Amino acid sequence: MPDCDVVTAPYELDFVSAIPNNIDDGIVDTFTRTVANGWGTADTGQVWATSGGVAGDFSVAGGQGVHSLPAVNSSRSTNLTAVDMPDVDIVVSVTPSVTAAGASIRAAAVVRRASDGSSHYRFEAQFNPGGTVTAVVSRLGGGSADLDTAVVPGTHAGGVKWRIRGQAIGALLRMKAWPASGEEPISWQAGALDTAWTTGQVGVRSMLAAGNTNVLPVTVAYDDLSVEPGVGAIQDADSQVLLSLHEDPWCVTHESRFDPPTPRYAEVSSMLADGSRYPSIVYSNRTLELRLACQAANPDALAAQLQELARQLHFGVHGDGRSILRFSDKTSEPVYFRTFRVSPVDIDIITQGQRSALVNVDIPAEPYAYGAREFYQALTVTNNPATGIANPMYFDLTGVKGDADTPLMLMSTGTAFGTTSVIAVRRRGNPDDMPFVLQAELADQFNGSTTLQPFDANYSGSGSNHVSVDLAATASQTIRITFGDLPDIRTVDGRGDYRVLIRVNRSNNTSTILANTIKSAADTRGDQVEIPQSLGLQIVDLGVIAVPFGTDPIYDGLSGQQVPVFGQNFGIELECTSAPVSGCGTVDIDYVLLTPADDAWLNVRWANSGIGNAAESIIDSVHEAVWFRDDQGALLAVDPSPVVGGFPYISPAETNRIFTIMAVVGPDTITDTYVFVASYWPRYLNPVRPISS
Amino acid sequence: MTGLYVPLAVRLQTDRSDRHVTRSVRDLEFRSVADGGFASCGIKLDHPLDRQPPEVQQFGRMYVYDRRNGRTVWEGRQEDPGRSVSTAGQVWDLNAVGPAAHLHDRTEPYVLVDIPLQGLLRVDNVTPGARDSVGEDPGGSGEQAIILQFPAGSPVNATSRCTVRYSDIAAAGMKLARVSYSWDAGRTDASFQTEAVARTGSAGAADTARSDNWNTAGGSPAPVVVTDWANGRDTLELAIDCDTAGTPATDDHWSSIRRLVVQAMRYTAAGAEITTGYTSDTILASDVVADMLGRWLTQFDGARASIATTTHPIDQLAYPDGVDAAAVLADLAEIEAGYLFAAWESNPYATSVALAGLKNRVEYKAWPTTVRYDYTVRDGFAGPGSAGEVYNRVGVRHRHPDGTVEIHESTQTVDILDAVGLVRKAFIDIGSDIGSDGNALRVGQQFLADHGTAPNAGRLTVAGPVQDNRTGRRVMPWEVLPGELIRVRGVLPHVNALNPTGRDGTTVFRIVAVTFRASTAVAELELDSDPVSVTRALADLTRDLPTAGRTRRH
Repeated sequence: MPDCDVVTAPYELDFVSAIPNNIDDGIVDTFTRTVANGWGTADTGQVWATSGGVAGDFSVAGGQGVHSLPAVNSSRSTNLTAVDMPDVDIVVSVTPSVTAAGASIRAAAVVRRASDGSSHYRFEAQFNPGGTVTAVVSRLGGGSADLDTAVVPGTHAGGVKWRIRGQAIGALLRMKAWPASGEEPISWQAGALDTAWTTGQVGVRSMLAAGNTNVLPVTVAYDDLSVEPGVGAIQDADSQVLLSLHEDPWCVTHESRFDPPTPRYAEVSSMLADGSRYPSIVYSNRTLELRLACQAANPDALAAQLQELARQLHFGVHGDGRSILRFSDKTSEPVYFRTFRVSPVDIDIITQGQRSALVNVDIPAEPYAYGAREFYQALTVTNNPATGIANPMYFDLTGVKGDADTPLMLMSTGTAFGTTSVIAVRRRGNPDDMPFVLQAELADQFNGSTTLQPFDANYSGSGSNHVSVDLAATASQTIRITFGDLPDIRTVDGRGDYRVLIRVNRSNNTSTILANTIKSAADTRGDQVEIPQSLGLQIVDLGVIAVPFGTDPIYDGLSGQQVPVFGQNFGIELECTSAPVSGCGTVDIDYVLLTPADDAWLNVRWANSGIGNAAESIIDSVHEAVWFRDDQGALLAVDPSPVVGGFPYISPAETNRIFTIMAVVGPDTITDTYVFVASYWPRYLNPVRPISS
Repeated sequence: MTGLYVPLAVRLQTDRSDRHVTRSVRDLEFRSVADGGFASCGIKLDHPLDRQPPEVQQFGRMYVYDRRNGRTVWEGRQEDPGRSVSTAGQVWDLNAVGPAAHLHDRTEPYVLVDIPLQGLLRVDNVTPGARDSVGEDPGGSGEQAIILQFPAGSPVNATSRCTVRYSDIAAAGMKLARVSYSWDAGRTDASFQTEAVARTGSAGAADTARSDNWNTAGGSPAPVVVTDWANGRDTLELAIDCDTAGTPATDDHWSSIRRLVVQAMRYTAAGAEITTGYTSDTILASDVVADMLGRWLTQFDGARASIATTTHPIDQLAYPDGVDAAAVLADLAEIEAGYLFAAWESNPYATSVALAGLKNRVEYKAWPTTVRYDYTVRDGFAGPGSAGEVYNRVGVRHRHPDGTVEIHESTQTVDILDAVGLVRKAFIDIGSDIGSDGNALRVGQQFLADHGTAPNAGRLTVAGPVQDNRTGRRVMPWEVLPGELIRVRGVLPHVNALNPTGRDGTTVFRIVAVTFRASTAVAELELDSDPVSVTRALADLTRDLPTAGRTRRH
């Protein structure tokens, strides 16, 4: 028999409880050192720098880092100045030396601090006279302000330790504070949305408020600091090893096979496949052929090991027969197989003596192996497609790991709740070469009934930033504006189908106004759509157009060379068909959006619970659902979210541009911003993966 | 591993749940037809049988989306699901019918235009000696007429009258809009009048719509709602009235009423009553479609419906015994064979998504005359022999308002039949619901026009992108819609209206049905070249759907 002492296990294989998140190492400081005139170096190697006062105001002793406050209204702070973190989850213990008198004693966790100290966000516990404690989320710089304030449960007294936890995720800032002797509160206590500062140092800060009458100096001691970078840390999965098959007494033999799944092809090669653009292929479940050896200390131990293996294969992690196998071919990064139930009768056990056994088992598993979940830093997207704006109704996801398309998880907070949105994807070529926004004021032609309008901050663009189409002259007329060539450069990346959205504002809500696209190559009209009879800026869907229009071989013969496309005249036509008196008033046009409609186009209402900003609404492409998670990560039952269309996937080695037209129903405000956190599980066909991907 | 090869997504929606179930779908097949629109859809859903998925419920909604662009490629209502267990696992067989099933939801009496002679009720019998009858017009027109008479020797006074009532419109829950008739009298006498009274119910408020002193020259009034009676009147009373006491000494104290045409008030497609504009004794098929949308078919988006105006004047369309909208549309298809009705998705262009309240898009349009799609026979084509569809004669049977049965025969020249001296005759019975001379003639003409040549029928397999000339896109097989024309390269046509020259190896067909199956990613197109397919397709659709109790007055 293969002997685990003799046969070196070629693979590392463990049953684990979950696929973890891929998060960078965090910062930890337990302050177990002794330092005078400063704080020295954190346990994880980052150097503390002091700010304010004199060196003697800072020390580490007795398992705590101490700020000595010799005067009121004068802060002391210690910062990890080599750190630059955009999204962060910070937890620290604070202990004021005395009960506050006269005015509060303040202790804060600081994030996104500028290197010159001119700006930051603070998650501050204000220990008030009388023993109350106030949680304050505040901003320094950019018009310093307390962004949210809440009195929290519990009372403070000198020498009593409290805990502060704060999170900064994109524009979302939230915190909680509680006596260290108690349990962490479930809910966040203070929270706000702010986009002033996006990244920076982390640290802690202490101060006596003006009016404080405590005997000076007052000290504030800090302990048990933990800083986790990135939003992945905030939602980390707890992954425990349930049974290791490569450690004593088990080993995985060379005869084991982890081959890629079998492809299944559609009968027609021109079809599109689920989850990918081309070609017509899906993958069958794979079979993991495990050839294991177990050499236990005694027969009872062998029996126990075999039973545990059978239980893992049969019951899985949660009793549903689904297990997670972490696999590594001795590479640095493991992959994870999600397996299906295996009956005990399908486990072939060949005992060798009383302490050894060979185990042959074929485990069905999902086609793809998965990597640890990858998170992108939170992104703030502006509801304005104008050029020059950061993330103008879209954002790019690059560096996707894996070797296959993978479903996108898209989380948003606060302002997204309850909105009806369009989420579209372009994940090939250079997305900058595809047409996306056509500002109406830049139209090539409009006739005498269309006039350029002066700047209005409610519209996108600068200068004269919209046009007004006058349909008031008669009860029946047609007006068109044209934009010239679409696309206006010769490019292969402009090719595709696009669903056209226009942003308009009509002056009356009684007449019938129809809108449609026109392509002047054949003067072809798209489907006519009635502009809803509601006032205010609104987005109207004009349906799908093709670029280029008409015959498109895509490739130059058999060369494999794509033929670039160049424009055909494109425009919008408005028609007044029913007017109560004469004419239909005016229609102001802001812009025309061409949202890609050849990959995945989703019309969705974000889930909403009404519990506030400190929660998450999630577009879940894995399960093709939209759901809501409260501020502690628990699923919250909310009204079903209608979803039309397909959920987005993202691809390795491509720029994945995610278009987010957030308010396609109801008021559409151009200054609104939305915070998104994107994540995914890399998918692998081959189980061996390099570190970078 | 389940799921679909193709980028389609399946959503199930009930009042308890709203979920995408694509990952659990083993297979998907849907069918659309013209007439009808989205017709049927079936999916096999992996789900344990011992738990009822909240998103599965009879009359719940089923949507199939194109994941790429968010457009709805099929939509309908769920039927009672089937369930099965086999070595393949536990599977829910979920079927759904398209929005056209809404056509079967209500069966009610329906009278839009009627030419009644029989069945009028003698009411308000204050002068029992007066007589009412139906017979040949004593005024000499030679037509059948309602005859009201004060007999000679039977005394009359200032309140004497003889009244008959027409109440089919009231029984249908509808209102009177227009009445027209021709009257004559046996004498010229200002003491006697022929009257039309519009009343609410049998004893409600009434307005005298028309009162004419007797004159042997007669008259042809056409009173209408609002102008001649208040909106809301739903019964019609025809009467002769006497305002001077005396005893008729001669048999000429009669009045005849013929060519009586009663019209009900119609609705706009948006659901508003039409109270003006009743200027004709006839209605159009497009009027009927709009009325049904506004009156019955509230799940359809009547306000935005696309309804093409038809041409044939319909002088009889009355279903006092009850009918559903599908049956009415079937009759209209016989009269206007060149038009089709279809119900489609509920969110064609709205960017809004909602749990409920969205209405399905509908259209009633003429069959297009321009080719929308281009494809070839490369993936498969079968065209059955079709000479059996050629006729040079047709008889159309209908029942007159007076109860008599008449058969109208129409003929046409068909060279291939004439050449062999063959008479091929079809026979159609249109009953009494739409039974009139005009309608019978129209139905016969439409039939012959559709059967003068062998149809270019067939089945085309579509397995690759299809050029859509209207949108300029290359659409996938599941995006191809019935009710459009397709030009198929590689098959020689029979010469007909769509293929007038027809020796170039391409044939233009009407697409009357499209069936798409996800497991093969192939669409099967049922092709036809003449509108006979319309009635046939509608009949097929009707057979596919739950049948309602439709009756005809034969």
